[in-house]
Amino acid sequence: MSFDQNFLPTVLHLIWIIPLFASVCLALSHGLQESFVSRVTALLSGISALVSVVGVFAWMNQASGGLAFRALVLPHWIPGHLEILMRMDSLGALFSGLTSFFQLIIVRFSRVYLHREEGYNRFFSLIFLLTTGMQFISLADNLEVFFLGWESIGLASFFLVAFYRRQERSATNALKIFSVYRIGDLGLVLTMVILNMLPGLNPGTPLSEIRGSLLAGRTMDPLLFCLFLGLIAAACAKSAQFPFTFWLPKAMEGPTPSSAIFYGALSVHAGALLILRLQPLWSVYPIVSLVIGVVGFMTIIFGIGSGRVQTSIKGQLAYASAVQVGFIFIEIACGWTAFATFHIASHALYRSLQLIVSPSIITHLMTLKANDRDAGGAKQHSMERWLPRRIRHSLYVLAIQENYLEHVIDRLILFPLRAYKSQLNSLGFVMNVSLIVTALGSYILGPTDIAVYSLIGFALSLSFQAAVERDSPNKVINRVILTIMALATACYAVANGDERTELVSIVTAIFPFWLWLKWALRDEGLFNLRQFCGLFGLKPVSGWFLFIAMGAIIGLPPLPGFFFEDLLMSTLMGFGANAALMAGAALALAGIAGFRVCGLVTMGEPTPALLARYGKLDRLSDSSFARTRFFRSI
Amino acid sequence: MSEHVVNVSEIFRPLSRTLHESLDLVTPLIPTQGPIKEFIHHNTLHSFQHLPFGTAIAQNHWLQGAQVNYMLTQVEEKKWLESLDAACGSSGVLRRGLRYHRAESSGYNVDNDLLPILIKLTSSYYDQGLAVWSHPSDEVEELSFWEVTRRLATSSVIPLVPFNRNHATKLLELDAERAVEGALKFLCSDDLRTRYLAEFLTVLPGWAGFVHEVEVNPSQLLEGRKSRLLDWLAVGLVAELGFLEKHAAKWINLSGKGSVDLARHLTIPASEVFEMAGSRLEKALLTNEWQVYNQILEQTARASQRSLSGTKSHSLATDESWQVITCIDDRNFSLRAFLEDEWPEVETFGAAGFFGVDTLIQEGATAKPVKHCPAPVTPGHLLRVDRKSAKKARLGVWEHESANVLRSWLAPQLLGPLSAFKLLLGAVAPEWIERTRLHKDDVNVRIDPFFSGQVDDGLRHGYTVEEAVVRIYSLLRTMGITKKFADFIAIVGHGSSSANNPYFAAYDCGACSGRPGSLNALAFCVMANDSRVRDALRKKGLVIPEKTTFVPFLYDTSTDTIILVGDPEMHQSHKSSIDRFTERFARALARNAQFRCRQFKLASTNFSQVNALRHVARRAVAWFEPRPEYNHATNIACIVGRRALTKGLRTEQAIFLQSYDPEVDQEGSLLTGVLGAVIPVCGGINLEYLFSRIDPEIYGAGSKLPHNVSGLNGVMTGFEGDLRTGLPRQMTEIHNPMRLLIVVEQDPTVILNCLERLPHLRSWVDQRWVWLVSQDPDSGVQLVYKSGVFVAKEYADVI
Repeated sequence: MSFDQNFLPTVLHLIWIIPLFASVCLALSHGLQESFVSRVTALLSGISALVSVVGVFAWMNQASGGLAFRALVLPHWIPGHLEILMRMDSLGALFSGLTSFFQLIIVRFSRVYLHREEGYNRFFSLIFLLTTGMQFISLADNLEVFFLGWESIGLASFFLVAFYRRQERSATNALKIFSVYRIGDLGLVLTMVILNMLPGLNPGTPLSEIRGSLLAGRTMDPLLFCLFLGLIAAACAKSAQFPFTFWLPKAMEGPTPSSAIFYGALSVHAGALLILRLQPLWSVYPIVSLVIGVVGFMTIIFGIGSGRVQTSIKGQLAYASAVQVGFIFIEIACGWTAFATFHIASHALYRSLQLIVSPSIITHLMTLKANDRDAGGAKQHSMERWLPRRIRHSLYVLAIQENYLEHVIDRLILFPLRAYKSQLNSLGFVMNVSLIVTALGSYILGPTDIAVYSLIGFALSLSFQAAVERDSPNKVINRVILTIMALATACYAVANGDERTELVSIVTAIFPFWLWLKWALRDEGLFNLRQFCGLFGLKPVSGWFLFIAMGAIIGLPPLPGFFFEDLLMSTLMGFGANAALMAGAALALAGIAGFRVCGLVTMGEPTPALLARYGKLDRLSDSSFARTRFFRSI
Repeated sequence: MSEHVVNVSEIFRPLSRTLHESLDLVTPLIPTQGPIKEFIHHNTLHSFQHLPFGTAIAQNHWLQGAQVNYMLTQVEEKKWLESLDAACGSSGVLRRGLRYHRAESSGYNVDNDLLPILIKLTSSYYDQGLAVWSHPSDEVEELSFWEVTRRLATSSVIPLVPFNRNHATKLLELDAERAVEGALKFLCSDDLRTRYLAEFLTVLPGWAGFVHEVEVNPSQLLEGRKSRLLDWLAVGLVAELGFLEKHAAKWINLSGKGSVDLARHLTIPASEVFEMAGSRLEKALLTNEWQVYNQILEQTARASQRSLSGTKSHSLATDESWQVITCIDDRNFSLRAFLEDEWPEVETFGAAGFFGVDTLIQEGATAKPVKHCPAPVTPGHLLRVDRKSAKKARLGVWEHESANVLRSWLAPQLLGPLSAFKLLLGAVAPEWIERTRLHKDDVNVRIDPFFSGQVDDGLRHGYTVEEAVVRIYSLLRTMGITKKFADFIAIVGHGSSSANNPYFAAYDCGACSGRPGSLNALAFCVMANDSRVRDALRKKGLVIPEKTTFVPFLYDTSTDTIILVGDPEMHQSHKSSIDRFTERFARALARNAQFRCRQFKLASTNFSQVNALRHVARRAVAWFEPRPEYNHATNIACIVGRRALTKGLRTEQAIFLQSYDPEVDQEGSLLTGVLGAVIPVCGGINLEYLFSRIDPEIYGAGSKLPHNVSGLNGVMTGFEGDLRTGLPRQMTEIHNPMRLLIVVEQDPTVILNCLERLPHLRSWVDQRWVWLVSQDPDSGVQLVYKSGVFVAKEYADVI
């Protein structure tokens, strides 16, 4: 069998284009009938699965190794170095195939499961956004494309955890998860930027051509350290590995099928895929393998502990997922790539099935218990009963508090901020002024280094202040944009001519979004950060625009902020790894603060003030429909 | 009953009370719902039942902010809520009281930290075997929650946050009662204690209610726990104190700061405010409700005239006649109509689905006996079941991950490919991997209902002949089966198949405490077919012909199928007759399935019978179906009377049908028994649906989709949520929230006499939680019960 030259690339592109198309259409399909939407989703997921099957078979037929397809050229007016490089190889084919399979199953499942639920269209739009993201990361042949997918998964995950957006706990958990994801995102940006700076590599180099020989003879220098740090942080955050394991059970807030596809099947393995993709690089250094293995091991130890004491089925499955990915990390670290790949696939299938049937656990255990009792079996004891009491109790206390991981992370990052909030506010002012003065002075007087560092310091200080602000959304937005301006200035100082024009155009593109945000949130009486305001309940469209505008500022692809992030990191990396790391931290903090504003303003129950302004809530649309005339058939 | 009712003004009146006084005041505020494995429908506002229906709703709006969706038109509803809010000054005061005030002023909301740890500790203590490592304490069955937590916190090397804080550590040395007292001293001033406790309980009403419910009825748990609300409060309040000490130390003592002012500022509305709002609500409801009631009442009135003037019903066919006794359940309403339509000679009756067999049933020698009779009945008997094929649990999917490191590593790899297959099947052909109830159990089962001489803990194993006679005699006489016996009498218990459904018990027979009624039907038939029993019955004047045979069946309400219950050998002699019966019954079932398909939006209204049956069968087995059936939704009335009254009744609603022959019960002794079961069981079902419908978040369990099973005790929304009480939205979404109309075909004076004998049920009718209508058996005149007397319908709307 042979194919036309263009046939295969077209088919392969369809693999991600169809879900993206479906996602966008469904996002815009507000008010369409459920039955229509249901049919459309079924059709699209069916076509998508078909294309995937055709694609994989065609690929198997034509190329024994990898097959690159990069027919898609972005218009040249798009700034930055974004190139869509894609490639089908065995790992990609497996992930892509799994994604299509789960998309088919979950869509089939949810069409009925979510029947009459508020947000039916939104749910499917987000599921398709996830699968688009998964297809991107499966088929990506450069990290830029990978990052696109990575962010789509993060966003879909955020909005699905907060699917019941009027419930404050869902919204809070979604924001927590977003914060962890943000750390991972920055890790990936760091990896991406450094990778492009390695000798012999440039943005045009596909992932598949990265060889370990590039690094031959190179010792672990700060640059490489940052590369691997970013890589591991990104993988750990996305795959809920140590020390980020705590977010996984908290993600079980959405409808059961979304939990199954995200945290049982697909997105939880994205981190493992990232590590697998860059294996040629890190496997050069045994220490990195060791770190990956240790991370996996720690996750297993802590995850099993916490998993054993979970009394809710979804909590148990969440920890079990994290533990399995821990095993996968160890297998990857040991170099058993093929086995790890198999493990990923079988685990995804197994776990998502468990999550889907998780409501059956009562029936199942009751039956088991009846059998046990028939056999005269006594109550089952756990193996911990052999331990001395003190140790047993201590272990239990550790496990039941999720190993303090959240506490520790909270304490490391947020507690100092919260505890010294008032001091920071007054100190911050002094600090800002002195940093600006230093920056200006040193810029005028000559030493650019100091100017750049003080500007980045200024940005960092501003982002801190944005993160601790607990009252006014406006202040946060201002501080976020100031952070970006400070970073842009620093970047401008070290950039070359081309980069400068690019920078100016990007920052100009960001500005309107900021202005729109300012305008939308201008009313301090309506929006504050002390509580959830519930804008989604009254004005869903404005709510979405808030998220889009904020995304444009804090760097969600393919909006301008993302190009800024990319440009900033690459410019500063050339200047010095420390500067880039600090700038990254500032961006991450500002991003978390900014997104938090959106979350607080849009989610939750509408506040009385908002209700007074925009009128009463509409009742859910499922008004009772009368039975059709009784006994018509008699 | 008086200690279980809510007294709102007392709770909010600042007054120093002893802890127990305060507790007695606030405990009725929390909902009562036991473990979800048995689901007993009850009035959600059970502790407000001493108040008129409307007043209770108004009070709950003020207390909890509960809504009244779908009861009135949107305009009326808005008007009612606004005027109530205006009269009260606020709504949801329990959620916006002292604790809320503290969170607002201090900027620290203790609930964010408190709830996760409190939920974890509580669910660990009460876990019934879901967790792999349930609890570290060996004596968890003997020790109280407070004691266990205290030992955990003190003996652990690693601190249990927040019990490692100064104040909390000191309180850990005390017993629960003094710990609560101690913590409350720090948390609020003495006179506000009651109110503080009320607010604290409302933070996690589901869990608090569960703790209290298993304190009252400890036998509901599989593994015993020394449950006390006091212990739970001790853990909760000490934890709260610990967190406050850490994050908002200066807010520890509320008494100094503003809380007294706050308490003064809260105007407690006079009880008249609620009464007026309540009567306004009820007036607005009247029009809607009576519009529907009248459609039913007019038809029953006409039917009784018809039966008075017309001829008697069909004479029984000569060769092979059947009488069918089904459960009172409203799902049998349409089925019976179709059956009679298909097969005019058949006579159908309705009785509470435990068929008078008030028993506990024990599966196997060591299993925990489970209750198979209505919730208000306390069974004194125990029956053992002997199954030919023991139930087998499916293996594979639930291999526990954390149980064993090696196994947890291997399980996904071995079972992964199989899972792909299962996922695919589960999504496209669910009937291939899940089985319905009919195939699961009850077919090959034996019961010996006769007294074996064994007595355990006051439970008699089986019934003596005399006891059996009493039960059969009263059941048959109530229904009026005294003279005319068919060749076969089918006793049809019912159950419901569903997959992936934690609420399975709520779909089964309500008269069997949320279990299928097949075993009760079987026990009844064995007893009624016994020659000794027949002889004894004959002596009492109830002559059942020799050839009359009682045959037990199970009706699966979600798949519309029926199956013979019991050992096949038992039915060997009548096999061909039973087969013919099942065949004819199946035709009625197919039409019923077709009819039920109109409830489902995803089914077509023009399904053929075959397609309809296929559709409902799939609903029962599909993992992705949160609505296996609509259950009791749309229930509106309960008619206690002869079948002639309801034959051919056309309505869009579902109706409970209890057969009752007014002629044999002139003094009302049988009616007392009937009403004693009908009012709390059917009324409870009706009100549970009503409340879960009008506020799915506060009274109901919200959406079923994000539910997460916790410790086999119930479901939470999400990972660390409150235990959900009431019914999920998917069960109630087509329900019209209207109170139950009970029509009794009997002389009003007889009914009043019966009510006299049921003092504990007076509030149901006196406070209008159900409507009671009497229909005179001779003249067909209908009168409505209104505060102690029966009045003509025209005067009923004056509340």
